[in-house]
Amino acid sequence: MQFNSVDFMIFFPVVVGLYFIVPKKIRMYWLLIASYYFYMSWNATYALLIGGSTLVTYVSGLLFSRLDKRNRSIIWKRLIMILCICVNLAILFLFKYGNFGIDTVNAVLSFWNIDIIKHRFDFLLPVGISFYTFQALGYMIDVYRGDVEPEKNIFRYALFVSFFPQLVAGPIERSKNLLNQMRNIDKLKLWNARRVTSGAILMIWGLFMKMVIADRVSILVDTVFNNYRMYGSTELILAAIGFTLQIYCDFGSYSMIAIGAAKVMGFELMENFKAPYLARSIREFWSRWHISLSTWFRDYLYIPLGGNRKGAVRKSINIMIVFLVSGLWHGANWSFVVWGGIHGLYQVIGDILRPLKERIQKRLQIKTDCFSWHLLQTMINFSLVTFAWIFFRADTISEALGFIGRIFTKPTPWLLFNNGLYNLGLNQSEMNILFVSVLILFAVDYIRKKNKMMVDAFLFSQNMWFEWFVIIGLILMIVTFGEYGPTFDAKQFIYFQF
Amino acid sequence: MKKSMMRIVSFLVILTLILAYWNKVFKVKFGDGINDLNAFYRLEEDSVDLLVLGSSHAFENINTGTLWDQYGIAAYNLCGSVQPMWNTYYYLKEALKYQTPKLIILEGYCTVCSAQYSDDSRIIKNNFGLRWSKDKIASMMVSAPKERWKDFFLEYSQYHNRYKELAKEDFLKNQGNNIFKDWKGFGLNLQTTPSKFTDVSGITEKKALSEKTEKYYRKTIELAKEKSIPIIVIITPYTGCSTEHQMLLNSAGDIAKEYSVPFFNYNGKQDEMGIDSERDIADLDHLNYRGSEKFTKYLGKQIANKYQLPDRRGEDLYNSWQRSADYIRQQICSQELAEETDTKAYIEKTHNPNYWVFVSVDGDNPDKEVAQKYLSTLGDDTGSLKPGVWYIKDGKCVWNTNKSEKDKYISHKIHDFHLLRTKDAEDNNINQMIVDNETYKNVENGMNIVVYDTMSEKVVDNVGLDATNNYMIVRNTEE
Repeated sequence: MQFNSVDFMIFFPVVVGLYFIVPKKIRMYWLLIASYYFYMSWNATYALLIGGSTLVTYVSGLLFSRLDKRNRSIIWKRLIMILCICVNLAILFLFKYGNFGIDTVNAVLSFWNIDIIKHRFDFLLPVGISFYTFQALGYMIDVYRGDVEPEKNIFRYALFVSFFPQLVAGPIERSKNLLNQMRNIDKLKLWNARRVTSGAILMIWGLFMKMVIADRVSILVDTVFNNYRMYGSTELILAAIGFTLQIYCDFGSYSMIAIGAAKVMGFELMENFKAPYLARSIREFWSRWHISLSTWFRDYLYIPLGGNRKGAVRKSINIMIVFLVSGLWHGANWSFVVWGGIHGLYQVIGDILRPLKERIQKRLQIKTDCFSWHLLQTMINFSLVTFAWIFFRADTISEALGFIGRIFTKPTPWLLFNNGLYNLGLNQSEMNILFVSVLILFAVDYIRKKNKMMVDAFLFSQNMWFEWFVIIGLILMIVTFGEYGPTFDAKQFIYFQF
Repeated sequence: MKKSMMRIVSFLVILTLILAYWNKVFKVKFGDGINDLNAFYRLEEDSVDLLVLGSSHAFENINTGTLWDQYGIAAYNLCGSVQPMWNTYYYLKEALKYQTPKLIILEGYCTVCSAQYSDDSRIIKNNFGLRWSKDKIASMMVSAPKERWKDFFLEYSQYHNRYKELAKEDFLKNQGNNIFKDWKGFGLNLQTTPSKFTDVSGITEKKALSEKTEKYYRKTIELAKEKSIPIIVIITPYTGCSTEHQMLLNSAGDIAKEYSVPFFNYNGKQDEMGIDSERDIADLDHLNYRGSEKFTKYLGKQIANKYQLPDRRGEDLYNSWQRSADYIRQQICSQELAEETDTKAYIEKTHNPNYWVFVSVDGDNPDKEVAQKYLSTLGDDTGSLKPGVWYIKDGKCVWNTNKSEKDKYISHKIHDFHLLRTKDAEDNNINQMIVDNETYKNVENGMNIVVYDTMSEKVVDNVGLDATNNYMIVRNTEE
């Protein structure tokens, strides 16, 4: 059940409607049932996986608590933690990386003409497995560290792991935030017009990003990426920029709808994207992109590895490890690992070159606190991010390299002037709609960065006529220009597969 | 709390109104199914005496205008394109909520159809016009396979991407087309395709109807019976009737007989009706405007007395039937004008009270006498042939460039006209007749005529009379 599906349009109001009227003590159970129904709408049997993961981390949490009370040795706690991580990661690896592992081993062995492993796993990747596994592991580690109290009510904990708005594509919530809110679910004042409206606005904005921008630009992106050998530099660059927009609007929209849906029900989820393409450095980009995952890796991998506390070289190694793992988290393919590696390298090289860069700025007396410098930084950063996305979108590393190679060897600048770009799946009127929509996206992101306000807060700060004008305008754009209906092949949110 | 509720309610009301208008603009507007119901819902309750059901065979072959003109029968063709029997059944159910006809004619061509489901466009045409009710839901459920129900229940999703094709018509009442003002469901087919009838009269074998078709064919008859409304099943003549069709129609006839319902298969009766297969056939399935008139006269004679259908002519309640018949007649006049190839006869036909005729005299017109004669017949009262532009109404000149100013702007409803005599880049005098930014000219030397029909609000014909070829009619066939 996708957020932009008819099913969800029925499911959500029904769930929320009943949630608002059921007795306070029932609220939690009702949301748990709804969440499992939501998850099982993809594949009912995979509820066993999320249930298993929930149970293992729940029991681990309780055991930590018992061990703490009995003052048992830290070794037991560590053993349990390692065991719990192993069980969860084993499930994740089996379902997500099983075939990837076999292919990789076979590829290595093929150098010696050995073909040993013929077996392949034929099960579908459970939706959102990486998200809920990380969320559950995050809780377990938090309890291990003593940062949160272990949850004793298994239903409440199960709801924390399976809360339907953010279950399949994030944000990856922290127990400190979401679980604590769930502990007070019966104290929530549900009817708060401003909060409900605010949630609805975020959902509308998310649907706009997904249905009007992401699914529209995906037509162009798919046309070019699926047949890149037939295109030259202009089309390829346009497709790469298109994918940069698509992945943001696709993933960002999911988070936005999730945050909005949770807000309608009285829960505050963490913000997952903060105008990432307006970042002026790769480091800033990662503080704005998929924040819940970045901070997860920071807290549960980077810092335990030593972070930046053990010297520059170790810091660089740690950064590379985190980004390579992050790449692998995104997908079972070496191209994702390369994508992660590129982002790691951007940061490591950036650190190395920083003194040189500062010296050159000083020597050339470049003004760094002005619009033109900020614009240049933003554009360079956007280009670097776009370049890396090519590896993310391409099916293989060699295809990504082929794609990039053609950008430099097959120039087609005339297409900028002879309407040739209207033959890439989007005609002129579709391109115009896309262009206007991206301008709106830019405006919203600019406000997010400059005024530090999400779209709902910004609209509330305006006059009512403007607020209504914008909301109605967005709704009309969604119902008119949104990609949906029988002629449209509904696309999954890209991040469902991660 | 109260204030915030008021605010939310106000917002939702405004949003709903805007979305309703949006939906009105975007929704599909097909004459062969959806507009048919829209016009039906506008009728006075219990005003229809003859209800015609069926597919295009019904709405193109049974001329409601002829039934009115000849017999004063207030008929309505409540039909849809390739309408399966299940949709016919629900159309009847819907119709009986508002009307109590004295006779139902079920055109039974679609009893030969065996598909379980129609194509998407036919599902839309035969369902989307229905008002929301449990019958509409049932109609949709039987029209589309279960896995596709939501595609059709959410109607807007079917047409939201029409933004690519929105036109002026989408924003106008009745799509700016007067035919839909007083429409009685008759679709005048103006095409002519000579086609011979196949003799299937000797085929007595039978082939069973498809299960689903038979079920709803029976239900339709049973519903009429249940309401005690006389029903007859007819098959209008069509040249595409094959042996298999005839076998299926024989079975349909047997089923009708089971219910003691008269069944008339008019295939084979075309000679009795005087239908000319060279001039009266539109295509394999339909009669054209000449053929439908002949068939309808024949049909009307059969039913008018037998079923005691009253003559409603002159009754105030039935003014819209009169207007509809007038409109159909005017459409036929315009078609005859557009088919005319004789110059003299053509000019005679332009003398129609609903026409505005624009004439430009261009070039040197060597045979001035002939040209002046034609121009005078059209309506010129100056008596001297000079190049220029004329605006003629009902055979009388209203304005011309030789009388007064050199250009004139005229408007009629949503159309704009500009008539002018001006100079081109090389300082030569030229005449222009522009309608809605389109310039009409067929000949450089002779006369150009544009005929605008104020009833249909359309340019119904434009021709040139070629001075270099004895003022023969020239039509631009590039379109």
